[in-house]
Amino acid sequence: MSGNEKFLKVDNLVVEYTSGGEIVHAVNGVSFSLERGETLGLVGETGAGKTTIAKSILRILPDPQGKVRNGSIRLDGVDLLELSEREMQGIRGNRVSMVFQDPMTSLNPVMKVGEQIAEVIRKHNKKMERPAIQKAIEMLELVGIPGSRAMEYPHQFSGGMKQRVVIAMALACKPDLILADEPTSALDVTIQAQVLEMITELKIKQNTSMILITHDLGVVGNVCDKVAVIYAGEVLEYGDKLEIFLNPSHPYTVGLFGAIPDLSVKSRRLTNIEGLPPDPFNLPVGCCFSPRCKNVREDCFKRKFPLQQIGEKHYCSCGYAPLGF
Amino acid sequence: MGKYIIRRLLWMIPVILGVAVFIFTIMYWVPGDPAQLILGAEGTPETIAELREKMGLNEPYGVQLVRYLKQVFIEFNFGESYFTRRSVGGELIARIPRTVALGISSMLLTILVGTPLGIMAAVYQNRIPDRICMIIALIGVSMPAFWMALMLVIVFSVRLGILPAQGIDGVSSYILPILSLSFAGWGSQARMSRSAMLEVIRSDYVTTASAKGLTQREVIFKHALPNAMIPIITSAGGQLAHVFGGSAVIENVFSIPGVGNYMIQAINTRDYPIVEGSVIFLAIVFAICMLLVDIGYAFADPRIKAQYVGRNSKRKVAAND
Amino acid sequence: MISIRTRFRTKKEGREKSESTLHATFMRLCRNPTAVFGGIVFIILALLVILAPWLTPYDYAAYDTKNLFQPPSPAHWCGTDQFGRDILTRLLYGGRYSMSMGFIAVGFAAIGGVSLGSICGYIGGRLDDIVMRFLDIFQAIPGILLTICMAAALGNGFDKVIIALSLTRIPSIARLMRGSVMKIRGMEYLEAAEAIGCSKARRIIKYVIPNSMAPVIVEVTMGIASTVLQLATLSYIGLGVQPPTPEWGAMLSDAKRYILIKPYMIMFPGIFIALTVLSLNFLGDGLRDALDPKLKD
Repeated sequence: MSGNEKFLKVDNLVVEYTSGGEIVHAVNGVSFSLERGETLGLVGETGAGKTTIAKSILRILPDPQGKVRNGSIRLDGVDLLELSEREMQGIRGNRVSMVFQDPMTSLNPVMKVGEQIAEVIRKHNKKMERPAIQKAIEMLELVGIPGSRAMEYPHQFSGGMKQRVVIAMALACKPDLILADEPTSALDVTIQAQVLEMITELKIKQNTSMILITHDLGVVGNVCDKVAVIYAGEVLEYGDKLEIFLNPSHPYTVGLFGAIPDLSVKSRRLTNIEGLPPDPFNLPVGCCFSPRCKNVREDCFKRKFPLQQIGEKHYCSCGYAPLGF
Repeated sequence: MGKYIIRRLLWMIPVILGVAVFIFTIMYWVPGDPAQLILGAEGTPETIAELREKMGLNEPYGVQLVRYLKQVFIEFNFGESYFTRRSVGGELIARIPRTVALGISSMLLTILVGTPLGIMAAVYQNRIPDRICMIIALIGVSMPAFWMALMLVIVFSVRLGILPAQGIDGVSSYILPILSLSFAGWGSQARMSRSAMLEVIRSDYVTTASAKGLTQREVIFKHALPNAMIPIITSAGGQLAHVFGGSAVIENVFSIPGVGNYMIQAINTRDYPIVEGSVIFLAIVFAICMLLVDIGYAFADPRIKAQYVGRNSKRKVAAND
Repeated sequence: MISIRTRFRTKKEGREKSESTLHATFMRLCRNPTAVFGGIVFIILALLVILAPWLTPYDYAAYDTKNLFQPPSPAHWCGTDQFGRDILTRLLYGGRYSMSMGFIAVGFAAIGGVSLGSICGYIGGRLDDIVMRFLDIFQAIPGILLTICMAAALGNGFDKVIIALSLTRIPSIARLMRGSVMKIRGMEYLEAAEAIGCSKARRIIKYVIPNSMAPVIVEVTMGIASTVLQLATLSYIGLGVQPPTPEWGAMLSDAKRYILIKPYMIMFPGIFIALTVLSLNFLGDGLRDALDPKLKD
């Protein structure tokens, strides 16, 4: 199969962590896909499993605690989960790269920033016309840092600049897919906007696909094309951003949107979602959201509902959502 | 950087002075009359009184203290042994090379053995190599160094006869002393290296390095190790204290004519100038070694170097980028 | 990955808050095989030395000129020494000195060090500076040398040796406590406590001290081990306990003369010392892991 094949296709991904003999069900059957140049927003609360999904794509889950139990992750048709470690090393930083959440700790404190960028360039480019460090300086300039600062250490930069270095590192080998794990959560709001804008520009320039993990619906609205709402390791709602924003269907999604203050409306009580996310050691039988759902029915507790198409590019895993509440 | 070194050296001075005051004071309060000790059985009450007068032992504590400090720090004279009348300072200088050789070699051996052991334990955390390393480490720390020395002597000198049990006849006579002195440190060095490495392995920048496609070996050697070196060097510095202290007893066991043995023998004969001089001397050597370790530290961690170098480094660019 | 797991864990622990942390720590300790091993061995050793009179038929000081220098045998499990005394008996009685002196010395050091460290850490300022300078002077002399000097100065006798041992140990405990207190002092939950009207004394007693104790507990356990070693060393040199008291280090000092002909005399005291110290070290290690589980995995 080729041609119509999606660029990235994740099918029924199941990931577990073992901790002291107990098993954490971090990801429980997640499926989604992505085209070239598209941005998918993975939205959900802390601990929902979003980072685990990203790390599974790159296969950098902690070993031996984290294991992919089931599913496939196809990049251009090739299942990444089947590749050897060596082949994966060729892909990491090269075709798929990741931007991590906390810029304060994601850079090696005792290595110069230019060298850290040059390292990934050197790793994936056997023949180079000129030294990798020059390319690294170019990347720094691209993200708005003067090239003269390439020989400085991370502690000499502020948080926002460190994050730009991390982005430069991620883009250095012109990846096809970027995984951005809450890239702006640790930054000031004003810097957030700048960094996001920069990521989007570069992404468009290089036609890179992106999976953006965030808990901020505003960011999703600005930057993403598709959205997947993750809860307790499952996809509750998935599809085109506009459709979901205009027509949130799953009770959880509705709750999330209801919790956003809206300046245009005169006054409205913010809705909140009662309860807490489930204990990942002990997930509920049946729909994972059932303990907190305001519209729960009897059999929600007993069975799980698969993702169903409820719109042209809109899928929802609540069995009762299409019927309206 | 030079400024930092000078500042440290200046700060060492009050500490060493303090050590001198301390050791003089406690030796002062030890019961027993030095004049009587020196004259021994031949002393009559008159000769003893005369000697006391000559040695200035009748003067108040404060006066004697100041006299001693002046003597040591201004004239660089550690006095004479009560019994042999030989210059303490001269003897110390003749002996210190052996103590330093013993100490530094042991420390090097500890680092060379303990660090890789700990790193391996960290990389294979909670699996067999980790458990074995840690158990060996703990056993080493648990036995008295001098007992280890005695056991080694039993095996290698008495039973096998291949290594000497005493003295310093050539290189082979240093082998057992270095081994016994060093062995106690393998455990703590391994444990420090292990926890340093574990903490580093879990950090975000190591995950970043993996995400760049580096092999595990590259991640460990280029990213994890250089960062783990910092606490490991600190721990090596900690070994120094053990090594300088323990060397005294090991010298005693193997009859090595070093500073530590000098001091221990003097304690038994109550030859106080030797005891005081040895302690001060060792404290100085110890402090200099610690300073060297701290400087090494600065080279390993550019953040610390920045603190030492001071104004010239662009430490914090303002938050507006 | 760690971030997810610690987030999960805190949610679980939130629900377990009704369990006391002491209980939780103890359970974690029990799950650690080496710590349990250490604890059991130590308890056995302690029992052996406490029950010494009822366990051996021999008198530790009685000469037996017919049985000099016997190698280990069914009658004398560890052999006899140069005066015909049963070595195992001497080891058991000796253990009373070695172990109790270790405990007492570290006990004093703990009281002194914790008080000193808390005061310095909490008050800070000039007092802290001065006391730290003093401690610097103490720590400028390598550990065992300091103990040797003080023991030499104070003279022989159990109480004097205990004083020397505990004085040497105070600086490290004090420093640790001080560091701990300074860290806790800066924590926001203290400000929060103050904001709800908690008095200073209550804050210190209820928040600062309990939260600062963890590293100190580990240090004290390891300190007992280290003190037992130092005591043995002191006795070996001749500064600690005097003959005929059968302290382990003193027995080694005796035996070194006969190293060429009677190696077993050296083996057994050392084994006992090593076992005691080892079991304490295992316990201390286990305590360290149990008190701060994040470090373990």
